[in-house]
Amino acid sequence: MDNLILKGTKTTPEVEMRYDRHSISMKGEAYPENAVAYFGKLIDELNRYLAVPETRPLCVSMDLKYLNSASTKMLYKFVEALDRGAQKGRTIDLDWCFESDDSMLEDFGEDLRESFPNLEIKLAAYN
Amino acid sequence: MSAILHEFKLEEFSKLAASHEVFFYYSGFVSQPIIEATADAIRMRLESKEVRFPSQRKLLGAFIEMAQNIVHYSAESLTENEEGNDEIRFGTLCITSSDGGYRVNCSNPVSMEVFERLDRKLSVLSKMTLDEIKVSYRKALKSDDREENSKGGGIGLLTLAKDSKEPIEYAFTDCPHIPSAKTFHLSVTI
Repeated sequence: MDNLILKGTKTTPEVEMRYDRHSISMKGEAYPENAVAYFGKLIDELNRYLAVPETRPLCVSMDLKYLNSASTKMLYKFVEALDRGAQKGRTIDLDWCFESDDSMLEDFGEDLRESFPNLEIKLAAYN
Repeated sequence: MSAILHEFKLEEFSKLAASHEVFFYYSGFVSQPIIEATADAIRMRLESKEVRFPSQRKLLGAFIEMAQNIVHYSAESLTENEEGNDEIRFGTLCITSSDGGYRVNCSNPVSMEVFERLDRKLSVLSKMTLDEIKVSYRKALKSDDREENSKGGGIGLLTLAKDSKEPIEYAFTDCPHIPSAKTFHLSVTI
């Protein structure tokens, strides 16, 4: 599969799905007008990638600043798709980064860790 | 210039706004680009006032959530777009300073169908404790069924209620220029 690289905008994160390196990163803010359509496409892409057998681990890094409610819900579904991949035996690490005083993103990271035990989720606060 | 000020009572309006500690006010058609630009301006103003980061984030979050609700659900629209993109719809957004915090308010016309759905939801939500709101929020986050006509995943109101210091306040009034609609008012405190 070809890598998928999306430049960040004011309302959508910078996304790098680098299949050649088995890494995915998302960085920035997410409050597009239509979060269901935006993240829906990314989830479809992820599912296509995870359907291909692969033994090397997948490293995912998320460093998000602000998510509106619709993006929060869709990102949850994205991580749910990762969890399904891990359930089938793939090792998947997720680094969840957030600013140290951003309790909303910290809580969301903790929610993800609780909900998806098949993933290796690390919470990393920075200043 | 002074004739214009006199005619439109702009100075009077500004004084009234200042006396009510209005920090931001917009009444008109709202679109995604307008939301982005105003959110930037509000963010810069909060930074210049050295508002603490968590409050900044919550205030901007509430503002964006309300503004996007207008773009998704207002019954007064300039666009007829069923795809949910590039919509332009009418509403009012207002931020006032209040007791060391901020109050974020919005209002917009809604169809009777949306009115009934919102009224049902909010009558329950406005009576919940913060813990109950958090439990409902987590449940809605994980739930697969998106409400019909919900473009936001159906957790927008729960997100607003969760971040509000005081219980969420709401009202429905008659809509003067659209008899088949109600005007929906919502208010949170940050």
